[in-house]
Amino acid sequence: MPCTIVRYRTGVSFRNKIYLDANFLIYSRNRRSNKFKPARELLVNLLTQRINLFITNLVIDEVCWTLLRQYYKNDTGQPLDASMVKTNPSIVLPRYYNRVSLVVSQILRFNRLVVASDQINSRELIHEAISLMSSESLMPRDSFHLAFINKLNIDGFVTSDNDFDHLTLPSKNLIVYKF
Amino acid sequence: MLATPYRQINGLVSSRFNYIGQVVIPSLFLETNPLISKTNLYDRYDRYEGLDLNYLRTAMDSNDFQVFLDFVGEESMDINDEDFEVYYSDED
Repeated sequence: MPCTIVRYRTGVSFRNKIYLDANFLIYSRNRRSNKFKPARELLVNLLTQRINLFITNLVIDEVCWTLLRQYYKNDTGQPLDASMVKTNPSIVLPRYYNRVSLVVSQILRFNRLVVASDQINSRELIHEAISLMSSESLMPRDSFHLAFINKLNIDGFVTSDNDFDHLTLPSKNLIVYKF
Repeated sequence: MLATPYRQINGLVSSRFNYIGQVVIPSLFLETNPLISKTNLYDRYDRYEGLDLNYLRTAMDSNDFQVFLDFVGEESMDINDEDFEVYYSDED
């Protein structure tokens, strides 16, 4: 069956295994973000339905990088790009390390949170990701997210990212919950 | 000023409203709710508004409930979808 896109609404029943995108975690933390309330409500429903939540190292990587950029932008009013950090790491890392570390610790404290990258053969995952990059026309990083989902038979994906709107995945029955 | 009696919002906030709907007095309930007492008073409304915390405390695993309280709305940054487009435009 092909992938199904579901616009999240109150009362939606989730499947048992849900992959969380970084944007969902960031939005649910930031009360001034435009998607805070939908993300918060979604988190409420995931936790009250006692759904098994999956992330990977990739998700944490994206959470960290987004937070660093936002903290810097909030403090200086200037955008941060990777070359600035590589040239002068002291402009962000000493200032924001503790905050980022706290966020990651909180994420890892959820009861039913599984770090999916612990549970899979890396070589198989790479083959799957490279295959998906072509078959689903995805950027490499997104193809790795989807490879984890496929290889672990995860049946739901929570994201606000439009890059996953056109998945076909003929052999999967994946639901993408958009918020 | 005209004011209605206290209004209960899903077990979290009861506030007194004037006749045009503005919050007039944050209630004692909001100020003293032990579930969220660690949170700055001025942040509580934004973070937990509309939630029935008494229900959620029983509906979630107890550990998850505490993590949830600590996690949601903890920060206040203006983030949009374009802020997540980070990985290909600016890397060497």
